[in-house]
Amino acid sequence: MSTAVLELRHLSKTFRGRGMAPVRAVIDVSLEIAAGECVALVGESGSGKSTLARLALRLIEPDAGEVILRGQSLMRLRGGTLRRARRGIQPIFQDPAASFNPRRTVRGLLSQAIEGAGRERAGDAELAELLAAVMLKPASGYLDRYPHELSGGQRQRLAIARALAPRPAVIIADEPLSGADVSIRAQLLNLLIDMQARRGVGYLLITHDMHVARAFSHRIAVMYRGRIAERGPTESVLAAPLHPYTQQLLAVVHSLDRPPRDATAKPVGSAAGAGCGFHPRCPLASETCRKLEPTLRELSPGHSAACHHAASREGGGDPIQSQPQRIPGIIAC
Amino acid sequence: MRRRSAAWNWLAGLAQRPAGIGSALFILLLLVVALLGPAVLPRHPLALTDQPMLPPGGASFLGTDDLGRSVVAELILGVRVSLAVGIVAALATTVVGLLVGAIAGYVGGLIDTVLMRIAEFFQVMPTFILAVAIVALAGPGLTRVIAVIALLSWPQTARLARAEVLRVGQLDFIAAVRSLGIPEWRILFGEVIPNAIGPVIALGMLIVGYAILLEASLGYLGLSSPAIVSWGRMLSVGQRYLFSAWWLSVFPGLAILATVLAFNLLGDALADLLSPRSATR
Amino acid sequence: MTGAAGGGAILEVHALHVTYESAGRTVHAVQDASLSVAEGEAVGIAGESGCGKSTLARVLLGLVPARIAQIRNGRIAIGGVDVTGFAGRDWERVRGQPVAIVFQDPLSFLNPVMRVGDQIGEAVRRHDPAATVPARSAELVDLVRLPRSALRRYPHELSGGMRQRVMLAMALGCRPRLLVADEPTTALDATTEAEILTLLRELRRELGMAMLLISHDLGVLRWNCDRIYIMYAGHTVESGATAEVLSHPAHPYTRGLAAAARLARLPDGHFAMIGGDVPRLERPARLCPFLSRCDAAMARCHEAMPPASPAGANGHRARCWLVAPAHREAI
Repeated sequence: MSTAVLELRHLSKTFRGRGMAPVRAVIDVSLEIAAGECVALVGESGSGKSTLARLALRLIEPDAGEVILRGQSLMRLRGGTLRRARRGIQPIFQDPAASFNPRRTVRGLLSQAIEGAGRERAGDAELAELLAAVMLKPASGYLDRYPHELSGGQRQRLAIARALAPRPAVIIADEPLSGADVSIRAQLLNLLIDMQARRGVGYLLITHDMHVARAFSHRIAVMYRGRIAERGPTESVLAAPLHPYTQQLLAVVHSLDRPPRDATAKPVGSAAGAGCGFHPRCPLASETCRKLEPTLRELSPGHSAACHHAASREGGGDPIQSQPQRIPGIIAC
Repeated sequence: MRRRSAAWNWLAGLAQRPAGIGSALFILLLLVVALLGPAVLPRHPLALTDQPMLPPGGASFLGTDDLGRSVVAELILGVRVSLAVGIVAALATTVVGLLVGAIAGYVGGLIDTVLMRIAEFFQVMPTFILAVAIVALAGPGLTRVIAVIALLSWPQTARLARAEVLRVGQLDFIAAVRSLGIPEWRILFGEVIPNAIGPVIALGMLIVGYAILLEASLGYLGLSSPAIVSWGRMLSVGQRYLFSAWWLSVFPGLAILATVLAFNLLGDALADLLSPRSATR
Repeated sequence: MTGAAGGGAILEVHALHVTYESAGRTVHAVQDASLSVAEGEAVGIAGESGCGKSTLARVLLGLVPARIAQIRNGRIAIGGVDVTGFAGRDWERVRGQPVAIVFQDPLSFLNPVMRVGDQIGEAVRRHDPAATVPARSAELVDLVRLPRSALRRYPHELSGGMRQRVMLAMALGCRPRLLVADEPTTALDATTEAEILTLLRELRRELGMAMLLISHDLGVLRWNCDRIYIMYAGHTVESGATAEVLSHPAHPYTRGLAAAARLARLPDGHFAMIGGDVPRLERPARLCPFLSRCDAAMARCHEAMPPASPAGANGHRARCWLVAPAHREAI
């Protein structure tokens, strides 16, 4: 697909600390985001979602792989060229309180975002336009305030404004809505939708909230222990999840209209040595799963999963078909 | 809610800490005395006009020393020496420590390791003994005292600055600013240091007190120039007459105690006030 | 399900008004909250941040110092005992037994330098002097489905979900008849949250214990509570059987909240949301606190505070003029 504005190619990152076992946070992950597309990245804490976000933002260096923005690899850029290029990918973080320099006013924060390393000053009109886009009006009521003088919802809207200021192609939002009340969650999602429509921004939305993934994304990628377990169009993934992990994730969703399935504790400290990382928790685990690492394979158009058993569904005798916990109708939740 | 300037908030915060505001006022008084004191004295402070060894009370107020100089006048002259040594030494220490610590913490890697090893080398030196040795060998002089104090106390500041820079450096807002394409040196000086400097300034106040004490100790041991009146030197003279003229030891002693205490209390109040917790409130 | 205020109520709160002092200002955090929990019943309190639900939970057990929070009006009764005037050590009569509480963030309630087993043991010794401590501790970790090896570990060696299980074990060590759980799963990811909620359902079934579950997540409350109270700006604005309230909300706030929780789409493609802001709580409300944000407001709403009125089946009540008898008659 050449329409992708952001391509992550075979990214890997292992953290090594003194006196610590190395942690393989991200293992050979590839993902692409088209202009105006929203990809939701879901998975539990420790699955490597946030590390992947930081790799994509080039805040940390990958051990292997490439980040390609508008056809240009960020890996080979240095100095000023890199600084100009990276303005094309902007982050929004989970904790709006830690996202801003507490010693700068809204004016200072947004001017900095507009100017970047440049020398020209941002005018008040430009700042007001940016604030209006995230419904912080009138601008005069906000420009001279400090971030801690704003409410949580207002701060998160300011974070969106700052991310939009450099006119990025892609916004990487790491759990931007967790901790927000449901009414604020809807408000922020509406803002993101508007920006998508008006400016054609693409999103990589990291979330553990399946409701948000369902409502907002075009495609879903599920991460488990540093790898992509499944990815595909949102409707397809939610209606017919191929990977047993995705099925488990969906089954425990507490939606208003569909009872969740009971969740039993996952095995403690189950470090899968060889084979599929999910096999200690997988109801379908077989001898193959314990020995052989499954690769991500496309099983229906645009929909891939890394599971030996998901592969067998086309060949008949589908082992997952017999699982009663598959939730075909979750998309209607 | 009215919005106020950061400085106003800051002063309001200080006002809520009685020890902090009390010591700040006392230090302010000392500064005024140091600047104006000699000018308002009735005569040259070292004039040997009074009778020697007058006890406190009467015309001499706090008494006179063995040469007939007024103790009050000497104390007032001594403020200048103590404050000059304390403030200049602390300033030098803080600037050097902050730069070294910030660069070590921000850049990391080999530079961090090398700078921190150097800091350790200076930190394990026995400060006081080294100061005595240097002054004894090279001769007395305020500049030398200040240099010795700064040389031996910067590692403490550097370590604190490094820890603060490491803490601030991993906050989300630094990542956000970096993604905006702001150059690294501007991130360090414009974002990281302003948010890391609070505890360093507080430590600076403690170093002022420490430097004053060290200078007094050198003076007490007779390792300061006889041409300069300092509180330590006054003590050195006074201890010879400890049993016949207590006022020669007690008043300079109290002056040192009060000044060092004031800087320590102010340091504590500032540490409280400038801590990251209250900054992000 | 048994309705409110029955004879077997383990907890009854009537017209509670609580203020607290924050940065030199008085905040009327809870203004008019009434609720009851029957023995063995699971009751939910839903509301967004700042609605007073956490203040309510803490005041129930006297966990906020009197100089910070004051009960201005109303009554709290635990197991038939009026605790409204309790001070200091009086609270020891109700804390742990009959009412235990678990919070959102277990790490700040666990001693970091003490092994988990010792902390559970301490809870056992204090509330269950007759028990053999090691045996009872082992029983408790089994109860919360932790491996026995967890007893020898320190809190930081455990995952978030396991720490919450430890907190539960300590609470259960008191053999409570009512467990108050204040956002117990908010800090956890979806999978772990589901595990803890499953455990809570199972424990209630095994022990017959009542539960007051406080959460901002309507989906969580929907499947874990028999009855639910919706709180807004310090008021309990709607209550009733959970399924009834959430599928047929009567109060416009509950309607907005449910639509936002479902991420319902409006015709223009946007998500349904509640416009406006939560009111300031610097003085008690004289009129409906939701008035400024309500799109169903009528003349009546500007005249007087609506009373709690029947709004449907199974004890469903709402504090809104839309369902008040006076309004119905007028129609």
